[in-house]
Amino acid sequence: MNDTIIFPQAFLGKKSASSGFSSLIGILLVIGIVIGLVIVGIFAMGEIVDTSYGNVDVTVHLSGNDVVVSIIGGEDAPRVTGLHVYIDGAPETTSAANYQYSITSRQQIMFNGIALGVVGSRFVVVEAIFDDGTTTVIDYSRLQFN
Amino acid sequence: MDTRLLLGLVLIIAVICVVAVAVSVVHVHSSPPPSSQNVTVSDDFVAMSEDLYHSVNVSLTAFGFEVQSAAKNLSSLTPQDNSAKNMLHELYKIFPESTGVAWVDANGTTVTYPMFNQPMLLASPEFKSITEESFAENDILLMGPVYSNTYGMVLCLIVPVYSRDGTYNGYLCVTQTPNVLINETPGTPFYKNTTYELWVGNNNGDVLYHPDSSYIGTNYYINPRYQQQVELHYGLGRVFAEPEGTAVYQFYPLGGSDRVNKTVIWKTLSFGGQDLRLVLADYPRDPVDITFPPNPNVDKMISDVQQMAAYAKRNGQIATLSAMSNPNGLFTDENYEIFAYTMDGTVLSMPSREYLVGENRINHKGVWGLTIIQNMINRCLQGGGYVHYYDAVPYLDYQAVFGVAYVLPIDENWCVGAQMPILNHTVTYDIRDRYTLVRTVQAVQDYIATYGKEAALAMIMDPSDELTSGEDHIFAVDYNGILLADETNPQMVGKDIFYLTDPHGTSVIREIVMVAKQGGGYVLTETADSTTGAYTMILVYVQPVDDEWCVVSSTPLDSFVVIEGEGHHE
Repeated sequence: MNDTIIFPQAFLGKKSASSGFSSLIGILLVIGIVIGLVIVGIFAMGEIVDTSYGNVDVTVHLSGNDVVVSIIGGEDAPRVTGLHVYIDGAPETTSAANYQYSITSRQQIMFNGIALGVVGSRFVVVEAIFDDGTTTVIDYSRLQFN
Repeated sequence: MDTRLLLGLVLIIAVICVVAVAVSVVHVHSSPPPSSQNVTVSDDFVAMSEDLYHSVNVSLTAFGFEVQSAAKNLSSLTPQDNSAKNMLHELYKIFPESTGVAWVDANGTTVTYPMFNQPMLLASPEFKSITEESFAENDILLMGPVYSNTYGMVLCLIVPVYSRDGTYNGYLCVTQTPNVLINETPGTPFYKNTTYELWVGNNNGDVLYHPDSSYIGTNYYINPRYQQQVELHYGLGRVFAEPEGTAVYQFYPLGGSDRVNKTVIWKTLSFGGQDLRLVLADYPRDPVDITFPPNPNVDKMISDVQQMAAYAKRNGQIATLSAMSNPNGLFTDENYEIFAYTMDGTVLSMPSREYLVGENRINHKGVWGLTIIQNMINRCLQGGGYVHYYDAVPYLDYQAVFGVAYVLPIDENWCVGAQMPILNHTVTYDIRDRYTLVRTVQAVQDYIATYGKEAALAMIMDPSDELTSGEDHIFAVDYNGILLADETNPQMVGKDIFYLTDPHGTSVIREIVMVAKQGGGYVLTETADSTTGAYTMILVYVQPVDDEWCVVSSTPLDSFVVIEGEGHHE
């Protein structure tokens, strides 16, 4: 009986006495979570905007109606045997090419005509085919087509 | 002598000495540095300063009078009236070097000439805030510098338009590039035929005109370029703070990285709500010493930029900028200059010119008005590649260094690159090439405004027409790459020409359209002669007609050949 009377009082009293402190902690916690989420979000967006995977460094540029991919380095570059290129949201914009890595030639791989009819700002995705048959997206970047 | 009298005299002398020392100490501590005082200058310097004041005063007053007169003629019109468009066209003809005229009425309805490069400028916040109250103290406003994609930093003369009943009905605006504002002789940094360098600031610390265009739009009080070692150029601060005077301060010569003593004289002209500081600077200049790379090798430069890009993608911006700054680091080469920019043109790294780090150089112009940094950014938006440039040689009139840059984007926020001269001598340029291109495109725009699109396209296809029979190439293309008219290449009309590239694979037509959609401007491209192996640089000027198509004119510039094995051009 006493417990049922005392408990609410103690509970209320405790809540009243420490409400500022717990609110502060709560606010700090919320702020911390928000900041954490923002940082994670920014990081994730950065990853989405331009990310190289598979330890293969590439550049991708537009040349008329062609898209040119250059492999410029990376530990896994010698394992690349082929490439796929996609232009996001555009019809007929995927193309594949065989590739033989050479450390000296810095070979440019041209994907002929895949930008035909493509205008505006589009993501271009480069997928590498490795010597063990696996495929990985190695570059994802936005190009301006006109 | 009485001992007490002697003691008194000694005491008095001692007091006088103490007071004198105290006064001198106070004086030493309170006196400004030597550079804060006026200095003696030659009579010729003073006379030319007076001449500059009167010249700019006459020029601006006449400019203002013409614009005010035009504003009165609009009093009974609306922007929708054809006669309003005609009046703007006539006003534009009075100022042929103007970058455009516009009337924005009280409802925000706009009529401009040329039609499609002004609206982008008028959308900037500076213009949105103009109201009738803006003219409460000045019946003419001089606004700017403000940035135009087409022309870089521009200044705008703005006057109110009133209806016949006296009600406010918006404003009339004429934009000019800053060099036109002060009658500068194109191609030289000097005032008239003197050796005095000319620049213009205002009492807020803004630079309105400078022979190095990258200074235009900077602010003395906040820009890091001015605030580094401010004690060395205290006199420069006086220019912005005081209405007139003479001073000596230390600052950079054009294109130089070592400060020199500059003697300046300035006067203030109040115009359009701004107190304009009209400054002449005199300073010793070393003979022009242009360093041409001892062994220019474009292929190696490209390879190194690719390595820089790979490093940046792996290690991030901070580590990359640190590596670039290391003189014994991975990316050092005496043949070329490396750099990193944000995508809005701010220098992140330039080890050979550290003082530019933090500067926004989007307004840096080469000769012919080419906005070199903007061109690099445009190239990065397409994934990177070559950018040729012509950089004016300081103190050598009409001389330029011809070079090539290679740029690669790292992500949507920044890019890296390198540049170097590719000729071992300077080239002479003719500013009239640029004006001819602009006038040609403008003539086509006039034809479109008068006779419509179809008639204008027919005119471009007519080989006997005076405009198309000239040396310059004219064509029209829509924003999907369809060639609409080209008398030189009639077989290609109606076809998609986005596939066209220059010899280095740059998407020329796509880039021209990109620049048109930004409001128009200049593009530098090249052609190659397969039989002779000669490359010819082509200067292109494009203006949008509307949001679907554009008019382009181009003219050949220098030709050169590549010497195999050496990798450089002569």
